[in-house]
Amino acid sequence: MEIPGGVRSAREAGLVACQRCTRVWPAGTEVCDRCGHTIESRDHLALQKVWAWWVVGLACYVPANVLPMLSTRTLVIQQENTIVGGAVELAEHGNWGVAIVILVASVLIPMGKFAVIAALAMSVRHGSSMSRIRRQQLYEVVEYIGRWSMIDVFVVALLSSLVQLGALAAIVPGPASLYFALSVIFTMLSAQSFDSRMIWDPDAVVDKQARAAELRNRAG
Amino acid sequence: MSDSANTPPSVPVQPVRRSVWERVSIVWVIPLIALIIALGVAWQTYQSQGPVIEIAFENASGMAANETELRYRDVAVGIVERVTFTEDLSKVLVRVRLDKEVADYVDGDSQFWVVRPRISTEGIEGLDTVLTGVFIEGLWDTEPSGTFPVRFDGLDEAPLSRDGRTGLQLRLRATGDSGLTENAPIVYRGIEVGRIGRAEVSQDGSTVEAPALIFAPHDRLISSATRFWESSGFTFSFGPNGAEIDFSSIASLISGGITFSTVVSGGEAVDPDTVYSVYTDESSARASVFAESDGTPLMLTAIFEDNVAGLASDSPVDLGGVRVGRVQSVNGIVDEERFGDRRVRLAATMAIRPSRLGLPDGNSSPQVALDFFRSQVAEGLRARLVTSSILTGGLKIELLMVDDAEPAELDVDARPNPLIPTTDSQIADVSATAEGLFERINSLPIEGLMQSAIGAMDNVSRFIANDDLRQVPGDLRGLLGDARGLIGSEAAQELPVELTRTATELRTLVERLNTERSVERLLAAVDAVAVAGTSASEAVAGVPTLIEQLEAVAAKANALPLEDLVTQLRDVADSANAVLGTDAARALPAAATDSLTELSTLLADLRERNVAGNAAEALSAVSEAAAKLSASVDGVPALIEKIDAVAAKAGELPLDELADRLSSLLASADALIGTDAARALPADLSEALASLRAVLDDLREGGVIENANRTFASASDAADAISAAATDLPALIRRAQAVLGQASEMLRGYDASNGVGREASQALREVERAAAAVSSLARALERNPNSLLFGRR
Repeated sequence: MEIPGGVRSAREAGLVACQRCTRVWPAGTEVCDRCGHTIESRDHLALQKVWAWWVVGLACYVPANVLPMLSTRTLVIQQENTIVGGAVELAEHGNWGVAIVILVASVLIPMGKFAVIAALAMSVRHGSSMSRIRRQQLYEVVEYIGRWSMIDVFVVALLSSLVQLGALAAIVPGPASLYFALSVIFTMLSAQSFDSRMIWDPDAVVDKQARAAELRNRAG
Repeated sequence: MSDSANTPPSVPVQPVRRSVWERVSIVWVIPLIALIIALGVAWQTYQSQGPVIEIAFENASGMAANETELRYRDVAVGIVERVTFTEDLSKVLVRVRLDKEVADYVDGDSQFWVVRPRISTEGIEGLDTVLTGVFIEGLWDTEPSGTFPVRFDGLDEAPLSRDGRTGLQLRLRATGDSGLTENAPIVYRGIEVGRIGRAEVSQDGSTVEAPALIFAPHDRLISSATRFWESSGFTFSFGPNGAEIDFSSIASLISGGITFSTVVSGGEAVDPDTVYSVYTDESSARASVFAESDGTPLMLTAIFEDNVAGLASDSPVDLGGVRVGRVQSVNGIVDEERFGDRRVRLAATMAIRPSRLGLPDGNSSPQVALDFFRSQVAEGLRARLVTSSILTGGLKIELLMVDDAEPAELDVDARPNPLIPTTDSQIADVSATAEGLFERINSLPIEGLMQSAIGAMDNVSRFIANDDLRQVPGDLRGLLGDARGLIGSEAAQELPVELTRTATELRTLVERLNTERSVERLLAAVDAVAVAGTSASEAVAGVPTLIEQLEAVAAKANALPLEDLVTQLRDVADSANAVLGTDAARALPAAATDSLTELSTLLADLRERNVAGNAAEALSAVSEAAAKLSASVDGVPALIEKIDAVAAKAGELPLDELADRLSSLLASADALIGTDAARALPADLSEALASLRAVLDDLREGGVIENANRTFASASDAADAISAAATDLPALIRRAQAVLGQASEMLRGYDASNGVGREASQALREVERAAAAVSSLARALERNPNSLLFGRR
């Protein structure tokens, strides 16, 4: 079974690598002799974990956008802004740069992560038109960029701790910040749960068809 | 598939029968937990969510959804969810999400109002809303109630009893410009004890009413005897102590204020929403306690056709002359539907005090008074305007019974007050009356009167200017000179001494009389005389007529030739003067003195002989006679009438001739007196007096006293006889009346025939002759004076 691009997977080579210390063992080895880590060629529950974290993350993302992210109280006025509302307001005031940053960091990236993770998980099962190497790169980008999604939460935390001027003005994190942080965490967990080695496995669909053909041959 | 030969054959993956726990990742617990948490939160949120109420406000200034709070005692218990309009856009509808904890307490009596910043003379309120924005304040009781309506009407203003301020809610009513300013303080002895709410003009526009709250515990100061008055502004009084200005507080100076006092003791506790009147000052408030302590007044309205000036508030309302109420307000009224035209009529609202009507059993409720008026109006009671003061032209309302009134009835259902029918007004026009008076004065014949007076004065002046009249004083002076000479003689000087002595004797005699208790008899006699006097006074009633007749006679006399008469009189006076001037006349006093001396001696003797006793008897007899006389006087008035008639006849007589005769008679008398014989008469008299003295001497010596005693006894008898005769006097008077009647007839005959005049002139001639005879007699006496006493020899 040739993998396009001429790359052979370790599994095809009858090998299995320790996930912790990267020592390669022959297929079938249960425990890494060097670090004692349990060795599995494929995590058969990985997709379930991905989807589980993904659902929770998405669930948290909804209140994170609906509830106010930041509560600004000055002497005269008390203002609560959602993430998108704040960005729009900033844009209306002319701060396009900041507004774009917020929109990218708080909306575009999380949404992109959800979409990418879902797409990767789907591609493992149903195959994809995208090349395997491209998908691997995509996964790496998602995993890398995921930690920066917390920048929103950091901003809120900084502002809240800095702007506490008693009765004159105060900035209090809204409930959305908590949900946003949870959403980011769950998304990162979801991305980490994905076993990227499955990208290189033969498509499950092909596999299934092959297996069905084999069973027919046996019977025949 | 060459590769497959090289690679180890694919391990047939034997599907291992794995347990559910091995096939399903444990991570799925996380979404499950999240789901459970989310559901739990949602459920809890739903559970803790209170009900939604809707409050309607006039406007929603400052209110914003999800921001404006509903507060109860300044604690947020809800939030505005939405601000919309009512279906007809007439009001703003605010949807408020209540907290679950207070939802049970909100019921139909709940009040909601918007708290906004507000600056007034009493201070600044709601300052916090400047920064936080407005909020809705709610007020409800502390009793949980199961159900509550969804829709509430919000108040425009904060209710008086807010912020947990409790107390007694009253209603204050004022007429005219009152101090019922909204939110003004009610001050008691300088302490704010209450507040006035928003004042509203009453339905008929005559009064202003405002709710007021007296905070606890000061509400115990309020009783039925409490009176409210304005303490607003300042009072300025100017009197003997100088000018005085007084104001209670700056706040009340600006915005007005009300104070109160319980004027008399014995007031009862009052119910909430009792209506109190607000008076303009303290004195009238205190006075009202005594004036209006008689219950609630009955309000009546009267609409007068004539719209005249002069009727004002507080004008009296009279019923049968008794003041039973006062005019509370006077308004113009135009009601085309009711009266058919657009004329302005006078609508007077009266406050009748039922207790003044004197209704039986002291029942003085307005309803009883209203029934009374209804029955009275059916019998003809009407209201009308009458003048109460001529000077000011002020009017008052009088309720009176009109006999022929058109049927009408008290309109009990009229609003705002029962309507009493009216009748024509009676308004005195002062100017017209005064004009009539001046016209009458103007038409008096003053000029004719003045001319008559001038003529009369001219006549008087001419009369006084008469020469004869002027000579009269000179003659009189001469006469007086002679008289003085006569009196100046020594004998005349001695007269008083003798008189004094005689008086002394008389006094002694009177003392004796006193001792004989004759005074009482005299008193009886005097009583009889008094009765006679009464009769006489009755008789005098006829005198005025007599006087009129006499006046007529005098008028005739006025026309007589008085000048001649005066001349004659002067001549007589001259003659008398000549007579008095003789020596013999001067000697007369001396003789008189002697005679008096003798008389004195005689009286002394009389005293010794107890004459007084007899005199007393004689007096009692006189008293009886007087009594008889008084009885007989009854006929006198008739007699006077006769005399009147005679006088009337006399008035008609032609006296002129008579006067002529008199004039000639006087001339004759003049001639008589002018004779020497007449001049000698005094001397003869003197001698005669001397003889008299001698006679008296003889008398004294010859036991005359005894004779005098006897004489008095005879006098007593004579008096008795007179008394008896007096009984016959009425008959005598009747006779006299008859005689006078005949005289009257005779005078009439005189008038008719003039023959009597001739008879009179003949009689006068006879008199003349008689005078001549007297003259000769005088001459005879001159020759032989003793013959006067002893007869002719």
